[in-house]
Amino acid sequence: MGRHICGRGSLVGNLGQVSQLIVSGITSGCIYSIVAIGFSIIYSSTQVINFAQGEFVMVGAMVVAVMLAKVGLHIAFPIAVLAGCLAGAIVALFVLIPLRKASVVALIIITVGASIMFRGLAQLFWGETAIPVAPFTGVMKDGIVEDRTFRLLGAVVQAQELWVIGVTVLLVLGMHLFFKYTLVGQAMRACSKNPIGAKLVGISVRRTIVLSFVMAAALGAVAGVTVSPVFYAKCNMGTALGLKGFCAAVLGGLGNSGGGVFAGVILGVVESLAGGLLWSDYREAIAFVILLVILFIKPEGLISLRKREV
Amino acid sequence: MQSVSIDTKNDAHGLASTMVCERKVAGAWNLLPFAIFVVVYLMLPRFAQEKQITALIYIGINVLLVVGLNLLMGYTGQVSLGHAAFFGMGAYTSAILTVRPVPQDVIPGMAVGIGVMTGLAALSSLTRASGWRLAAGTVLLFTLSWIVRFVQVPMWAAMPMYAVALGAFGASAKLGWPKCFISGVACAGATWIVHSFLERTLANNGASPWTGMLAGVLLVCVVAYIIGGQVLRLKGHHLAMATLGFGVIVEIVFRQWTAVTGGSSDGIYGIPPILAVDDLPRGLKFIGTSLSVLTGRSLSPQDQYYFLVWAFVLVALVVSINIVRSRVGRAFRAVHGSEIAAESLGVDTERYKVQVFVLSAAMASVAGSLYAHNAGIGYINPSEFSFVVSVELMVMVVVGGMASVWGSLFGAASIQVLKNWILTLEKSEVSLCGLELHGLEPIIFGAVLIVMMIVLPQGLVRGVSDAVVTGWRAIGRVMRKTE
Repeated sequence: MGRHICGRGSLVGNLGQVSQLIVSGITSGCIYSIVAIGFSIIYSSTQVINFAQGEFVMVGAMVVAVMLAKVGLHIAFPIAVLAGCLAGAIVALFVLIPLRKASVVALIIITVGASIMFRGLAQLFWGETAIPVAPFTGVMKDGIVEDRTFRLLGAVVQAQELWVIGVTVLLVLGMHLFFKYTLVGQAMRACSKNPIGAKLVGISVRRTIVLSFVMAAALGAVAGVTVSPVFYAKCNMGTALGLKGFCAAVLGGLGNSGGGVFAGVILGVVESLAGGLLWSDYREAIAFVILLVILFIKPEGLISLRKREV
Repeated sequence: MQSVSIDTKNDAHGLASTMVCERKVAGAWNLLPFAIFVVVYLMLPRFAQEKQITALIYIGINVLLVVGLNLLMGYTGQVSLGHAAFFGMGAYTSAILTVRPVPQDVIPGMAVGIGVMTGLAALSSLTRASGWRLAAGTVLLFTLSWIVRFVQVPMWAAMPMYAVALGAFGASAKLGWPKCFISGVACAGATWIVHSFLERTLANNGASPWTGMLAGVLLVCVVAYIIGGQVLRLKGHHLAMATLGFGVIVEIVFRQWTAVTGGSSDGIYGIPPILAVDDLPRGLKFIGTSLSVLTGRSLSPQDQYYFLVWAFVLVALVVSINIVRSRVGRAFRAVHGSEIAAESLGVDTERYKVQVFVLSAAMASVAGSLYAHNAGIGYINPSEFSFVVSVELMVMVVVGGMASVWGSLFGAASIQVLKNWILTLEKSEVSLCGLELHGLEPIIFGAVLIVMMIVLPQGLVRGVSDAVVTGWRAIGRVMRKTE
């Protein structure tokens, strides 16, 4: 992920560096959190790990990057989210057709196939180069939209990073309220608890599954749109984001959205700190090492609410 | 054994299929496919041009990989999305040892790393330690190696030191001291052997390709044993993600450890080819002459490499078919059917899963060495061992058919041909609806994966033959009714 720290002025001492790393860690952690929520939603409705989850983020980011060249953000944003929903519906279709008779291996292969197909399509249509995206609330300077920056404890914070954090908080709250208070949300929770029981009381399980895929995809697309000015939009950005989001989901306990959010932010910060201060060459590997260790020691996740409920 | 009754429907089904499909076919007929294979193998170069020989070499390497992966995925039912890591480790080990003699300053670190891994493998296999005991053992091994390295304890003193310390650890952690004693010796011995081996290759400006291949296989076996022991306890999606994570980590190491692997931009080039026929010892020269009589020309390096690679393929096919038909193979399929049922019949599922994981990793490592020493290329870089390659291998297994050794041959060949075809299509600069057809490969691959899993989850060969059989029966039924 090509984060550009250069050109932000000199960092003030060690504390400045640490807080800078924490800020960028929280930003990427927010994205991991949203991806983790997506994993959890789909996992609880279908017991399928959707390997194409990261590609939803990519679709959102790429569509908004391409659209912004022609139209404003207020049009590009909804279109990007719609494109994400479409991608989610397509994956749902691929999974739904063979769901009842297919083995776990088959479902894994299908979502992996969907993932590489989306990436290939994005590469075919929009090329391999990273596309820079203008920040939401930037100021024009020499014909280029530059982001506003703030100083906080010696760190330089971009306005876009605040946007990312804000949008994440909104989404998390929204999801919580949705699952708790709306009828559809309650139906989805019922499906994840006991599909047969849900069917008996008249909930369409198939519709719930499609809905969960579309919702996960929409979340991913929103994340992609908000984060694209920070990370740039690139056709292969989805794989790493998806995997790290999965790390967060496993850390937080699969199917437990709240834990996933928390774990995502922690993962982002740990990765950023360890990558910045200890092993900069192996920054990308840190999340996976954590994932392996967690899977070896405690596969049910560090923060598992499941047991308390049962 | 058959009289055991199992109440779960699925378990019974899995076991029943395991038992029933073990009907011994008359011995001689088993050899027929091999006879056909050998004849085709020997006669094919006569009718193939250089380009096709190159394609056949790649197909052979892929067949090696896919046969191994099929044992793991098809027969034992364990998904691996990180198989390219073992492929890459084999390739890199033999490339590094032959071309880029390891830099002086990383030798002790490497020796310690491999030594500790060997000690760990010995510890976990002998004592079945896990959890905090295994972690404590690892820490102890690392501490000892660190002390040995920085205090510069000579080898004759280090060996008993390791042995005594580990023995004491074993006694205190209630793992039994003799077993821990042995793993301490293994750790020290491996460190010492690796250290002196690396120093000798450095002095000799590189090892021979065969040494490289052997070293790769040994390294991969140790790594696969350790990783497999932990990873294979997971199931389904967790297993897939864990193997994927392992694959990604290994790829990042290939990219970033520039001192040894050359990084992603340089890679390693100038890897010497294996001239299998020219290098034959004097007594075996007749093989070379008879092969050139068969091909009707003097053997080019490509031809020789073709014969070498497919000889390995033949060995792999014989080995895996024998395994599949043996008691071990039945155990593999029992694990696939239902682990609980298999365990209740006395199958040590964990051991068999690790065994098949190590076996398929070793096969991948051999394939990697063959890939690195390919005549006329002699170049590798990290992107050849990325996640995409793991997915490609999975596609080959799926297309060839899960749990089908001969199907692997077909799967690898068809996907490789498809890949070559896409490449020529991309090179031909045809444009479709104004789009340049670059990077078509992932799209077609993804589509093939999805369609295959939805329409023919049992693979192309078996799927089509099943469809033909059912179609034939349906026609027969209709005919009988009309009569």
